Amino acid sequence: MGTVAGMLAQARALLGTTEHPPGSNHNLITTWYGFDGAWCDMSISYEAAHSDNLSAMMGKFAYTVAHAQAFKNAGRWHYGLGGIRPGDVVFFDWSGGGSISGIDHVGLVEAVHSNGSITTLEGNTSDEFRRRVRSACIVGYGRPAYGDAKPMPSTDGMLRLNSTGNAVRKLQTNLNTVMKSGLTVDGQFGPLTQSAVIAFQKRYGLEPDGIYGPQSAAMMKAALAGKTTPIKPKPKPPTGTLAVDGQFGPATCAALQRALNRHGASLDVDGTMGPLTNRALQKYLGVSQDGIIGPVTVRALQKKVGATQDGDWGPDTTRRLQTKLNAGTF
Amino acid sequence: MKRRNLLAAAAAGGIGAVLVASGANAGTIFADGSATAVANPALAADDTVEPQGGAGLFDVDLDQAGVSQSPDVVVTGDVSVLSEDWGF
Repeated sequence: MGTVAGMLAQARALLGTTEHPPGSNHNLITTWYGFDGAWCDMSISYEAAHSDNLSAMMGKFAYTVAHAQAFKNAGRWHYGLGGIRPGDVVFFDWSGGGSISGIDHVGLVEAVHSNGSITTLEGNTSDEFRRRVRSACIVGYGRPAYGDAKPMPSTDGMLRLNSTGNAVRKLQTNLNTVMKSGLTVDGQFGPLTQSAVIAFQKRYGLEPDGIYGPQSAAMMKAALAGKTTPIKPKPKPPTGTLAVDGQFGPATCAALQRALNRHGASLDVDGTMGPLTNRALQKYLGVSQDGIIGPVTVRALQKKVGATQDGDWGPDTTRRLQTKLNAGTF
Repeated sequence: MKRRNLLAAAAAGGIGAVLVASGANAGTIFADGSATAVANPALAADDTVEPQGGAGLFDVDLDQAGVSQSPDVVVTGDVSVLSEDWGF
């Protein structure tokens, strides 16, 4: 059985891992896993398998929802950030929802900070393996059964009948503010608090189950701010001129997608090279539209941007592409 | 244009949720949020997301400047665990 430190060491060793060619999801991790697909959870599996932690990790996963559910089924799942530690596997939902079914992404917790942020080690973030600092869009975490794993927190992150403590006090205070519930703030989740939670859930269109979890908490945060729907993350505006750095990241990909749209494609400018973007690029370059960026497509791209036609999409190809995108001549 | 955050998720990072199977024999499945969003009308209500590049895409994302990407650096926090009541 492996350890937390062993798992983290394996994850750190992956920092800097990219995709070849960019946007292909192809690298040592997906090769090891068995197919080129979204590789955030494959990275977790890779780290676990190389640190004797695969069984502790509940096995080998590519599908984040199934992985989170496996932790839940094993009694090793916790909603929200409460009680989170290094080595925990943290799951994200970029829409700001709080349910396992909405999970989009996963990372490994390297460090925990008292301001409520965490440092993570993540695969497939901006098409690379990178270290991130996160605090938002977190659904919850699973605690692998490492050989040196700490015990799970005393709750699963939900407040329900018979829950006690400071979180219940805060809930009661908030219910009194938002719903004028008139609850005694005693930290005891009794029938009156449960009724108030149900009333709150009904008013704000939530499932009235009397259990206060992440979705209810997100709605409470919005209600306290005078809003009637959860406060969802808003996208940042796009940047302007691309840095000609040879790095094919989301900004370059987004600029490419915008250029392809000017040539008649109808792509969502999401900064990710998926099959639709790949096909649009292939159509523009006049090669077979199979959705896979292989040597033929890369050579056609290199011809288009004036790079050496070796079929290998490297930094020079990207730099020339960035230059043309900036000039509006791609 | 109307789109949805799932698209941004693809840009922000690994979007495991668009995979429909797990396991090494699941076949070649790509993470293109476009197809998923089109297939699900519930996802068509939000605004188009355009990535800023590098760090996260959302107004709630923390600044990633100064975050070391060196595999030789070990990041440690100022606490070993967050309070169980955190988030409520």
